[in-house]
Amino acid sequence: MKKKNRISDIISIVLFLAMILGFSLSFAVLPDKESSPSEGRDLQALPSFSEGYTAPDGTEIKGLDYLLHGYLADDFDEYFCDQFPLRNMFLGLSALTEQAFGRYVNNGVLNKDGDLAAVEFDAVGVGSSTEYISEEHIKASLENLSAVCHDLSIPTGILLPPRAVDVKHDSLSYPADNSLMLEALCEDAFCDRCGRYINLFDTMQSLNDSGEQPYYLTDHHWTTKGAYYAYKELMESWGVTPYGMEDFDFVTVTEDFKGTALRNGNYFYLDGEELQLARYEGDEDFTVTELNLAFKPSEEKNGLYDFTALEGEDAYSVFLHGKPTHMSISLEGAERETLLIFKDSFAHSLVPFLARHYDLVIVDMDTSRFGTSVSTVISMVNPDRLLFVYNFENIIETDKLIKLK
Amino acid sequence: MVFSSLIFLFGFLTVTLGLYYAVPRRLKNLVLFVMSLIFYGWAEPFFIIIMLVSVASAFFLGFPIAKHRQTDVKKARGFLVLSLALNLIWLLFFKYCNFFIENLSAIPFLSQLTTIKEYTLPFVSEIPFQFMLPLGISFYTFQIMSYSIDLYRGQTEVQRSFVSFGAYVTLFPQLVAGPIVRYRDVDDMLMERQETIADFAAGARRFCAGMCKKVLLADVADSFVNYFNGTLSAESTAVGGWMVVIFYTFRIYFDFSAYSDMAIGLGRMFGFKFLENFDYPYISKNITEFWRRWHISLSSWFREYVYIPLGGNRKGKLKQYRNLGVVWLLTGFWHGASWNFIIWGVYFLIILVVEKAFLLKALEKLPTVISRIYALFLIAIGWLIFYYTDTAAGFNCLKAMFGSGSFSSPTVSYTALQAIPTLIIFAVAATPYPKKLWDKYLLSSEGGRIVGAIAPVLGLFVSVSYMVASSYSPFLYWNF
Repeated sequence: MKKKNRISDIISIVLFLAMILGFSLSFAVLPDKESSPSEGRDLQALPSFSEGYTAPDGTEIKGLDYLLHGYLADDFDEYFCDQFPLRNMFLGLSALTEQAFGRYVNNGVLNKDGDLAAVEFDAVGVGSSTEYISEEHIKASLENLSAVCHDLSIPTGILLPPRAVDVKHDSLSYPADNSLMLEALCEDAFCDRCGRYINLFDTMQSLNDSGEQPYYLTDHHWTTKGAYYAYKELMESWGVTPYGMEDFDFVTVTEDFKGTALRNGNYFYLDGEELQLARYEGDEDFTVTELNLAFKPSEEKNGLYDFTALEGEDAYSVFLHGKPTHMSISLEGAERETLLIFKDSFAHSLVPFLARHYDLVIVDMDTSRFGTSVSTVISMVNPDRLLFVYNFENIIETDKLIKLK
Repeated sequence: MVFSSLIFLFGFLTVTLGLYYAVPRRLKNLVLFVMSLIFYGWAEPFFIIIMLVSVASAFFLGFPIAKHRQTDVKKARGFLVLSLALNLIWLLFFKYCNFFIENLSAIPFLSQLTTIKEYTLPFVSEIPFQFMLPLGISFYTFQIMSYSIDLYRGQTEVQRSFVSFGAYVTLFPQLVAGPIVRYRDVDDMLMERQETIADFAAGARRFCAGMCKKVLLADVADSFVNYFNGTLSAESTAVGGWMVVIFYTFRIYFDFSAYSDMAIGLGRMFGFKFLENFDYPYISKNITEFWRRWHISLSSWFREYVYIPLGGNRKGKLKQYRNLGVVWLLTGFWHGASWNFIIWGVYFLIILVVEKAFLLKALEKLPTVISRIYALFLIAIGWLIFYYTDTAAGFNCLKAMFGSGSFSSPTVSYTALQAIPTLIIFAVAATPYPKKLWDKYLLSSEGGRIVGAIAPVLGLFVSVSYMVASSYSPFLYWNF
């Protein structure tokens, strides 16, 4: 019996040691990386006693304390995870294994046949934190936005892009109760202040059901076509005739766009998808300027798009240079209305459509430089129209709308 | 350090195996001792001191115990009591001090007790550590006690090497979560053991299997427990409540037995043979059987060092029930200084007494399926008590299970349906059938054996992917 097992025993040992030793050695030998572009964060460097640990409140823990308080061990754990060889392959393998066991939510991202949607605030799958949508928080956010808009005398539009899961729940066979709740809360908050809030839930859902793909498969944003329909709804609500779909040339600039949902859910084994731009004659003539806190020009940009972003990890940054920052977009020599936009990144792909009608002043609500007073900004910019573009993931996660004045 | 971490696998284990097999025989225990201290002190270096004090006190008091045990039993007993007291004091201080002070001070004339805290807290808060409880203190304290008691009873010989005794207590495979290895079970191996290819291979396979169990089953079950428990705070649903209990039942078994698998596997790789700690507890047909299959090393410790010395079942029914009562209160309390653990111990005491009195005989007449459902139901309810250190939350979960709220909600149903394949895998994995099939089909032919040699390492590979994805997943039994 013993002899019979000899070969398999040796195979067991060789494979086991090869795996342990192989990864130990390659981990030790391979150079460390400073950052992970796909996650947009710095990676943990080799812990050192002189660097120590800096707590969120700025306290520095160094030397012996660093060891005794266990921070060295924590940092080493993180160092191993962050710098491990073939990291993305392993992350993809874990996501693939989850799928194989019939668990379709990984790291808070639902994957149904390659169509992804973040569901971290609904059902929590393996590796997700347990967080839930707070109805009171949403209600307070929406009611405050509604109150702020109520007193404005200029034409105003409120576009609140639904989350991918709100748009795709039917095709993803995912429960719609939270999506319905969000939609109902909007109706309640804006019902008596008509004409400003534009319900995008129905529009986007019916587009999705008809196969138009208003949202990316692998990203939380709407596609350029999805953005077009939002633009169309907005224009119609203002009584302005929008340009037709045929007035734009939808150009595919990459077929390998791997969006946030793919990267957050570790679905690295999935293929990237198409990303389009809506081009038109004259879209290169705009003067695009980054603004400082006082809304004074700080840096001139080269057009609406940053094509170098297509080479990087986050191709969506091609729109509006991808930066959360204040900007102005104008057409030299033309007398046009000024549209002031308070926005998050959903507006980036919407801007090219709007720039065809208006000079734009864009205020990013996610940047720390954004003050909370709408009326102050209005008095500085003196716009003819106002637009809010703020998506529901942000509404759920941040208190920006609650603080708005 | 945890087994299911990259730093353990690709740092610590590589170095330890390398050193262990590189040094001559006489230095092997030293390697194990030193590496075990590093393993133990990795996250909380301060506690090394406490452990070493315990080790040293038992080691040095072992000599007078052995010297006097035949000539002057009274003296020997005195040294034994001293040794046990020096050991238990740390456990009492770190694990139970707060609990006693808080509960006793609820009695009106003892309310001044809380002032003790004012004197002890400044001392405690000076200690630089993250957790209040030294890792694995309940485990290594019991191991050390087994040495002193066995020595006193003449069941083992005195250990003359501090390094070897230290290696026994701190041996990293079973240090923090068992199995609780009795000294006399390993005393020979400590001094003389042989590492063989067959043992190393079997150990490596067992370790890989344990790792898969921990990472692919226990941790997955844990995320479902957390999810469903979270839903209960938002909305009380029967499905949510049952899912918490079912997944926790799997979670605690897979987690704890995975640790034992890995401990036994690692032990074999270093030439040690530890006794089994679990024997498919969820196929039990009654609770008496369950406790013969669950955490065997703890039950046998209590049987040997508490139940039998108290007289066991030899002094009449009444005394037997008293002895059972003592053992089960201690068992509950061993698991944690919290009322729910005491309730949990009493819960099993009552069931065991009822089973011994008459139920066992009645259950034997029932079809196996029924008695298994009976046992599983009571086990699961036991885990509900165990899980909720906040007894009010536990009671809410129990009420939700039996219809105090709604039946389900759309997202709860969605996640529960998604969990069905997982539950089927869990249920099968908790039975002996996978092992039986493995032995029957894979170990019967050369090709099968080769597949059986490759599969565990592939499992380890997949487990590593989960470790890369989730940086930290401590074992459940760590803080007991």
